[in-house]
Amino acid sequence: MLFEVKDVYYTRMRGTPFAVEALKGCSLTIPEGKITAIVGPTQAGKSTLLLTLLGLFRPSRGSVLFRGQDIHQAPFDLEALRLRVGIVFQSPEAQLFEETVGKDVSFGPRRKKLAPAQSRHLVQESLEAVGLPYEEFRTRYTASLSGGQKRRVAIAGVLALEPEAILFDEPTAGLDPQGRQELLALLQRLKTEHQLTIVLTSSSLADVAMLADQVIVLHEGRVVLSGSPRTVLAHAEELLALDITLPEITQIALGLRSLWPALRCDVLTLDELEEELVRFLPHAASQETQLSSP
Amino acid sequence: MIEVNNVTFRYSGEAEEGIAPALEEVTLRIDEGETIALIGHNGSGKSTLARLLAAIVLPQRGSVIVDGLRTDAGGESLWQIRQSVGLVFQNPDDQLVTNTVIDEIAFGPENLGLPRFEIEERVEEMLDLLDLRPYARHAVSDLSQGQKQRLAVAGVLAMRPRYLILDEPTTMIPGHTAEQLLETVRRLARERGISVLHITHHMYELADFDRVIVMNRGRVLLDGTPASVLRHREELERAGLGLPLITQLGQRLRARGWSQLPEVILTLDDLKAALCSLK
Repeated sequence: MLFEVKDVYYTRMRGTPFAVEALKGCSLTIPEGKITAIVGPTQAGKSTLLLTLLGLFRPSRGSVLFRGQDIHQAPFDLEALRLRVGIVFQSPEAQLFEETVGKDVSFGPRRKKLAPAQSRHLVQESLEAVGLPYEEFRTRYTASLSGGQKRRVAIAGVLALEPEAILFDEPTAGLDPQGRQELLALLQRLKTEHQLTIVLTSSSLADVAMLADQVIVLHEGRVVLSGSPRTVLAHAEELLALDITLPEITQIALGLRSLWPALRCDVLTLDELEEELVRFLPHAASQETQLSSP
Repeated sequence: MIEVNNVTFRYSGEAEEGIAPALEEVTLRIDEGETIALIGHNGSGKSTLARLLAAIVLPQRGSVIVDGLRTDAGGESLWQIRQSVGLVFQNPDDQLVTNTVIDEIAFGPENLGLPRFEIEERVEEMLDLLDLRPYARHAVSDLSQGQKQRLAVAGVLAMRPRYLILDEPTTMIPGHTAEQLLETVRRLARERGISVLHITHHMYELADFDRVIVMNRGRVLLDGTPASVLRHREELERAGLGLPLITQLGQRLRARGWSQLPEVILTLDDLKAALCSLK
């Protein structure tokens, strides 16, 4: 296990009239080399959870373990953890601050005082990994890029630190369908080609059903469901009640249940839904004639 | 009525770079009280069309005429056009200008120079209409994306436009929130005769609109009722748009022998009704 979260409580803005109990007895595990999606409505505690994993928030109760070690117990080195686990905040395109793409991505390696050649190599690899050819983009002004490209530059900046894992807070928010697909494909490549552990948050299962190995559903600071996307989707009605957006396919399956209550709604693709639905339909009149004619 | 007559528009500098115009020879008409979904791939010209209708940019060839006023006539008519055509941007943060929800709704009417009681009346009305009453005194910056998007719509509607243009309002907000927003907007169109032009990437949002316009490479590719547009599967696919999954499911079942199913199924209710008739 890369991370274990054990019965964690955390109150945001503690001691002020705005105090909110963001995590209330949250327990979960993040396996290595897999994609874990943390799904929940707004205010479920998703972002708080990510920051708690990195030790940016200290739980008021409970513990966070990284490879079995409590991150808030000496001699654990939190600085070292943050070099090994990167984070991409929401709308990361807003956090680019250097003039050019190359400079922005090299910020981390330069801070680590790496030799220029090594730094250059890392920047090149990181930009290529996010699908931005190095020679073409290194001297481009960050201000001249599209929103989706800026988001990739921010991700490259995290990759250049050579992390073992990256936490993404709502990586697809505000992207159009095409940008969304490209970003999800990028996350998949980071897992398969770079062996990274990926954790992402989303308010929609539509984005992650085909991507995640594990889905954790968070509601009011607690884990209410977890498992493979299919296991979680089997509870579609409960998810809907929690204000979680379901994949289009699941929505259709769920709607058809009023006709056939036994219809499965843990279908991931149109093919699966079609086969499931056909089991319930009466034989088509024209089907026999089709079969008998050549 | 808005008339778009043979309009061509090119962003400056694009001609020298050999880029095709953003809009090319576009002709269409928007009637009062119509709800229209405008769909197309990135770069198809949707947002440019929205800006032309709101007189934010002017056509280089052809004309846009809003209730008899040409958008390129300048002067007083420009003010009238801007007041009757309301535009809501994709990202509400791009158009929210004040600190609190009430101030934001009042901003437009105040700038129209309306008397105080009239402003207050419109603010009250919008708070109810867009479910913003619980947040009336909240800071705009504390609202969620969905609430901000509703506030942006409220601010525009408070100026009582005759035409409401929504430029991809559902990209930034979760699915069910988006549905609620669209339902509210369509209800307004029915009740008050406001025309709505909703720009979207999502094929599944088309079903409940009176009319669908499909744009491709700066031109109108298809224009008609949702059902008639969705009959053109191949043209849509060439424009980078797949049929909604529910329509695809219906067509797959037809191909497997349930040939009495309609060719174009738009909504879950349609699908259920059609499947029930098979039983």
